[in-house]
Amino acid sequence: MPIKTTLNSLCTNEIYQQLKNDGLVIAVGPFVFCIKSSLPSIASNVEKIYGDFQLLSHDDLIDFYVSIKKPKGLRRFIKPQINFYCDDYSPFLPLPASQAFPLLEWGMNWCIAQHAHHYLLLHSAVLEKNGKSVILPAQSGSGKSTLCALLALNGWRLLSDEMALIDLQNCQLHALARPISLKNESIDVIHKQACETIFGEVVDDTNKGTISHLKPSTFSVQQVEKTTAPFAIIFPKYQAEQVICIESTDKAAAFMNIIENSFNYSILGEAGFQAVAELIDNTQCHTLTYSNTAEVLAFFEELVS
Amino acid sequence: MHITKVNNLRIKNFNDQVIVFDPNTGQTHCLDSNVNEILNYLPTDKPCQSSQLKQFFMQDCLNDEKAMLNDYIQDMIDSLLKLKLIHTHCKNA
Repeated sequence: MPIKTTLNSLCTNEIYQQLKNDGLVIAVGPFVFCIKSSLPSIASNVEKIYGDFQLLSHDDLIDFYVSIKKPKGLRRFIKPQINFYCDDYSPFLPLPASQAFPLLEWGMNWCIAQHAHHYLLLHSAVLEKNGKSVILPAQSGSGKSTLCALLALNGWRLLSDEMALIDLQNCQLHALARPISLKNESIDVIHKQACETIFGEVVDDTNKGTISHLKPSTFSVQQVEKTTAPFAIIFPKYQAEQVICIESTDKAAAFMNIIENSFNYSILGEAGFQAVAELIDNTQCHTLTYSNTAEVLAFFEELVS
Repeated sequence: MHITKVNNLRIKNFNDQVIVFDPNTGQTHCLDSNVNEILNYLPTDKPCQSSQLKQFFMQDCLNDEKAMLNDYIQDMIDSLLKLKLIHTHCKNA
């Protein structure tokens, strides 16, 4: 088996120079990104958070050319802004330069959501343990990413904190193992966990509040090519002071909930319908309301035991 | 009123409910089993009179039950029309 070169093999200056010049080429699950930026914050965060990712070269087939650049003109210097580009197209409004790394992450999500239509894409976290994968579809603010981080720090393999990739041909889940985006209070919640955590910089005043990215485990990144069949769909909702409550979800309701949480069901047509039907057939579906970390971790351990 | 079911619907059955995908519009609907029964009765190839459909479902019912069922079935037909899962046809002169 060929040994994969990872970003860790480069020193800080090499990473900075590659980002600044031709771009840094890395494998992110089934995709290859070429990332360009001359911003020091991009270089430092990429070095810290993407260290375990496979380093590739410009001879490899690249799916997405992305860059974070300062604009020309006054906003380059006065209250500096930055733009995200994918193949020289900028799909977003500019953001303050302090939000460069979150913008890169959002931009990479956008690239996959806009283009990867050989998968059914769900807005959900996905983790696996004991060969059993759990999909956690949820709207922003439901506590999904915090729960995802808790599980990832407790022995679960992270496939994704944001997007389930379900192969339309065989219904297998593909992994991305990208950094987990944590917001506001959840950053402290995860910091207080009794295990090693590596965070990117903390960025305030984004449209989602304060954000920081948790480095995915080396184990998750090393296993990124391993696909897995979905075992359960859990619709999670954090609710303060709520005793843990698990209820089986009616399958028809789960079906409609899944398509509401899909980025691309509406454009997949019948292939999307069949993929969701197969997904629902092959998984157990539950809603979960919780507030206590120990209780929710115990529930998930029991689920896959 | 003459009605037919839209062609090529894809159906997924789950106990008391069904999920219907209409490839003509790309829409997906969750229907209860009663509405699905109406949909299943209708052909795709030739128009069916709504009165015939109602008669089928109201057979063996008492008069007061028929009145209630008539309204209920009409509501379901109206819902299916709204969802564009069935079409109406003008009767030929």
